[in-house]
Amino acid sequence: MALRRAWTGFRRPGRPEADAAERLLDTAAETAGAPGHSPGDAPLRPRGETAPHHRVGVPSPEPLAELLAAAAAPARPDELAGEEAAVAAFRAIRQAHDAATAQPATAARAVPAAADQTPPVPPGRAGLGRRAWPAGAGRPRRRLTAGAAVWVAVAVATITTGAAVAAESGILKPTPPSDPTSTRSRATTAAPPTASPTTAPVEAPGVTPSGTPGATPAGPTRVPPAPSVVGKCRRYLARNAGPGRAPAKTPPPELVEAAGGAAEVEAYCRTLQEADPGRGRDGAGSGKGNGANNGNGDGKGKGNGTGNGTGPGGNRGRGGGSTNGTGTDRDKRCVTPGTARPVRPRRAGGSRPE
Amino acid sequence: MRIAPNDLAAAVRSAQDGDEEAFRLLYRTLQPGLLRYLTVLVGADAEDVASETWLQIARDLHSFAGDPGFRAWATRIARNRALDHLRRQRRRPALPVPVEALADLPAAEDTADRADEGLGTDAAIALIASLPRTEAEAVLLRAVIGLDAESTARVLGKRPGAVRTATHRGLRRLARLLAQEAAPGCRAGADRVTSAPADVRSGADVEAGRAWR
Repeated sequence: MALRRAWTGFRRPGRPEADAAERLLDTAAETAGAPGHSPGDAPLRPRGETAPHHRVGVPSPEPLAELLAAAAAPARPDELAGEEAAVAAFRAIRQAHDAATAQPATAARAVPAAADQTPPVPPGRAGLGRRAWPAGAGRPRRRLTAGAAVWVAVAVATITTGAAVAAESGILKPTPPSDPTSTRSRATTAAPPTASPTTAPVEAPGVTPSGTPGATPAGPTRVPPAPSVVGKCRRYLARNAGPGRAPAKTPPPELVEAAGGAAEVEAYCRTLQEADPGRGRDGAGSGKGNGANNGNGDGKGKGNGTGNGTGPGGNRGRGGGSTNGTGTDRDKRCVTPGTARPVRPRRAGGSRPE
Repeated sequence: MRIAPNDLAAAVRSAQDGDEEAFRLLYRTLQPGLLRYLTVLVGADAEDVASETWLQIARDLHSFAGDPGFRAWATRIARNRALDHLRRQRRRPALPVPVEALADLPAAEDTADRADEGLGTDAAIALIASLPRTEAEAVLLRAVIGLDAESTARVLGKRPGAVRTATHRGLRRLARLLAQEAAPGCRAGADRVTSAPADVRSGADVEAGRAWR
């Protein structure tokens, strides 16, 4: 008998032990999981005569084999008590699956079966379902959706990288600030905090100052640079070109950046000055205005520049007070008010009020 | 008797096509082994976990590719459900079959026909469950569910060599236990089995060294 042989083999120490164990396991496994067997099906088990020994503990010549055989004994009825529940679950799941797949199937192929009672199916799944619960239907569908997801991911990645590359290569980027006027666009949104008159639209010389400068639409794309830049420009020019000052002063980094290079700073700042206060400067009276007053008076009546200068000052709503305040500052710093002032000294040859 | 692998594969395919009877055959084929295995893992909650297992089998059957073998696939599901259950319970797998339950079983002579199958099976499972868990699992998967060494290793997430070693070690330990039981005398099987776990802890290893080394 196989079990007995296996057991005796197993008992022998040494090499044959492993083989005996394997035989033992195989023999026991052969008895495992008899479907629907009742005890009456005993003939399927080759050990009818050993049945009395199945109870563990009853003396048996092959206790281990008996133990394993008992452990792998055919199903008892109580072990299969959940069968109907399991089958019912299987049925319910299958019906749900059918319902999910039948509709797209009918749509795609006009399969008539059970199309009516199927609930609507999410549109994303339409056309993917082939049959109702086919063998392995889930896998191809999964692969399809997975493939679609991969494609979408790749497409998104391509688009984003394309955008990034385009931006990097300058396609989508705003033009570099080589032109000083264009760089002013950076300052557009920020409302000028101080009463610096340079915020007036630069490129619209003929435009009357009536236009609200804060709105910045005056110049098409040209917008006044950030006040800080303007102020720095003024300071830089004043120091650099001022008569009593040391000529070589490194420009502040903001200016270098705005101008596009250290060498360009002076030209950039001058352009800036001319664009704005320069106008006032062109007007003959600008110089006087500055010199005389703290900016309120600056250029008021005179010249084209007056228009610009006053325009911003008045319209910004800072009112006279602010202007006056700045005016005092101006006197000290010699910078703020009469933007024309720093420039003027250069041209005027040292007529600085300071 | 074990269903032939080809028949099992055919039943799986039929069930995947929606054949209820095929699913029923799968259930009858696998449920006893799974239930016993789950008894070792989760004890008295084995039936609940088995229900969860079959629910998942029914749900995921269509995605079963047939590669690892249905038996191993279902066993892995059962094991995962059991481990989830244990995680939820936050307790280690206790003595699988409560001692009281075994003691309350009717005497073998009273229900002789059933005792041959039923009591013997329960007692055998209880004895196997007294092994260290890896050994118990390996023995059960191989001898009761009928997986080969490779499938057992895959289900347990171990290497085949380790599983083989665990199986043999478990068998040796079982043989020791049985020899120990047989020595003191013959009492009712149930009593003996319920005392087995204590024997494992007390003197089994001493006896083992004498007998098998």
